[in-house]
Amino acid sequence: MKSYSTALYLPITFVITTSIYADHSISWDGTLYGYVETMNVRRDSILNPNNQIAALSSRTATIETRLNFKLELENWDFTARPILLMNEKSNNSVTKDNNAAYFSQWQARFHATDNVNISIGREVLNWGPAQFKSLASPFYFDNGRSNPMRELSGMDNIKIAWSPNINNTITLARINKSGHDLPNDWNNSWLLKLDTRSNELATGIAILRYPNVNTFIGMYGQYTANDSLLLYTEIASSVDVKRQIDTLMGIAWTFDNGQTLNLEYMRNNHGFNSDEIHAYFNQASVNYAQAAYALSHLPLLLGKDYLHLVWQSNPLETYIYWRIMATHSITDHGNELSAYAEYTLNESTSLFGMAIVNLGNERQEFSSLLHNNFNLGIKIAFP
Amino acid sequence: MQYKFICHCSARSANIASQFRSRSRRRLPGIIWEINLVSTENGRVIDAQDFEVSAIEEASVAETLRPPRFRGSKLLQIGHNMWITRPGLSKPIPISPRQRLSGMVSNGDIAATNYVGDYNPELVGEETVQSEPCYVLELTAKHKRATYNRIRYWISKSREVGVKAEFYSLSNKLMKIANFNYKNNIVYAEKTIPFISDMTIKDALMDAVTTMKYGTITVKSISPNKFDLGQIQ
Repeated sequence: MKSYSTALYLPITFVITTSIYADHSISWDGTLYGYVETMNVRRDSILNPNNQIAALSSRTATIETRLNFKLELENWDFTARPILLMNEKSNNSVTKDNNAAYFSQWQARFHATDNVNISIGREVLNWGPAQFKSLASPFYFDNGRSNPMRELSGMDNIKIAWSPNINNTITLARINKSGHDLPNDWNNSWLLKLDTRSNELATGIAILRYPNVNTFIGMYGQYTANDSLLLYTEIASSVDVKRQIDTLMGIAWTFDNGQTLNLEYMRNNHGFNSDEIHAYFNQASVNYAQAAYALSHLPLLLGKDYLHLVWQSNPLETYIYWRIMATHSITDHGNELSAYAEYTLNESTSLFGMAIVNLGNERQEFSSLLHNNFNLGIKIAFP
Repeated sequence: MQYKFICHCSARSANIASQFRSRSRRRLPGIIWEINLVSTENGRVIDAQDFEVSAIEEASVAETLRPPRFRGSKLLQIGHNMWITRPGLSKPIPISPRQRLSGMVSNGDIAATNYVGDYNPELVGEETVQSEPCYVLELTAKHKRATYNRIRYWISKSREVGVKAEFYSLSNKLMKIANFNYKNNIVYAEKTIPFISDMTIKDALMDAVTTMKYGTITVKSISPNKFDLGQIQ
């Protein structure tokens, strides 16, 4: 088990620092998560036959503490979000402990002027209004959906942000390295981002330049047409074999009761068409080595065209929150259904549950590895 | 839930509607305050929350301080655009203005009503509210985005502040009744300005009451960075 000393170092530094500065405010809080997960692995999977390649756990029990520390001085803010994680994964008769302590995010921010902030830290650099995928950000394409119970970990960066007014911000960041558990694909890259926010419109463009790789360009826009209707889009231009543009368009309608229906369509030009998907699974089915190769090169999104539907309760409601999602691959006709619900027991405690059901066969993207996945847990906020 | 500085405006002369507009244009460099909200239904407390609100021009950020399960949640509003974010969330989520109108959160919208930006005022008479002579304004929605079709608004003649408001739906049904008190004062540009201290909102359709107490008020310049989605989390 890793030592927790790393995750506790910064908070202790905070306390020492506060004793030096008289004019400061310090705060902390945390949330304890306890949840169990069952995963129904597909035995006839082509990519993971009999679960012998990926060795996915059928049961996982997790206890996770997510802490927040904040210290505010006159011109400085320090924040840290250490995560202490303990989980036990079981797969048939094999049980494995997996413990970790790390900073999901941390930041030291200097207010150089009223309009300019300079910061160093680990920060989630994710933006845009889309729910299905985050096209406008190069770092978090799948928006955390590959493991929805875990929160995203930040990118290590040094950043300067200039907001001449409340409507515009220009950000320049140097990405030193990927954060805690992300691939090191973006080390030593530069990010330039421009955001605008007006009465009904919000737009942004992000340009990422990284060594020896062609530039990534991401854009987003959202338009609040009226009290009920929100229109939005995210666009990405990046180079795989050749430069391709991926697009996502979304519409959200809010009903009188506060529930919202989102419908998103995504065109993934980096993905395979139906013939290519067929060939991909055919190649993987030749032998274990081919299956392992196909699995290790499984793209974040296999097909070209997707529909994503979200129906959710008002996130501003205080006692019950629920969300139902359905994703349909127009390319291979597979479907994924998922639901999340959270019920408040008291001021500090809530119960939550999540279910993901994949409909389709072993040659369709969503159902290629798992039949279903269920989570049930409790969340306790403190102090 | 979100809150914005409410300009409860003056009524010195017969041209009260005109003053309503001009007085409301007076801008502060920024204002920060805390709100304690308690909601009751049939006499039973069903919700209690604390917020810190920072507001400048047409933008506001409301951060939840209590209850613990929502601590650190923020609601950002710039014009009609709104986003909600929480610690650990992958990114801020855009939400629709209508979402602040349903359930318990709907009372936040009354606190956020942009009387001047969203409504045309007309002086319709004079009445007494709790023994205090008042002008009565009829506020009519300028556009479909306004939350209520019309608002009836009482302004104290002597204190020059709004003391009561009635909110009507599109079908002209009375939805809510709000009463305002001003025991807080803020000092800006060597002038003392009365600031709301508490607001009581009664639901006209059911036995539900929400009380909001305002305190710890600071007038100061707020960095525009505070309203940047990339720096809000």
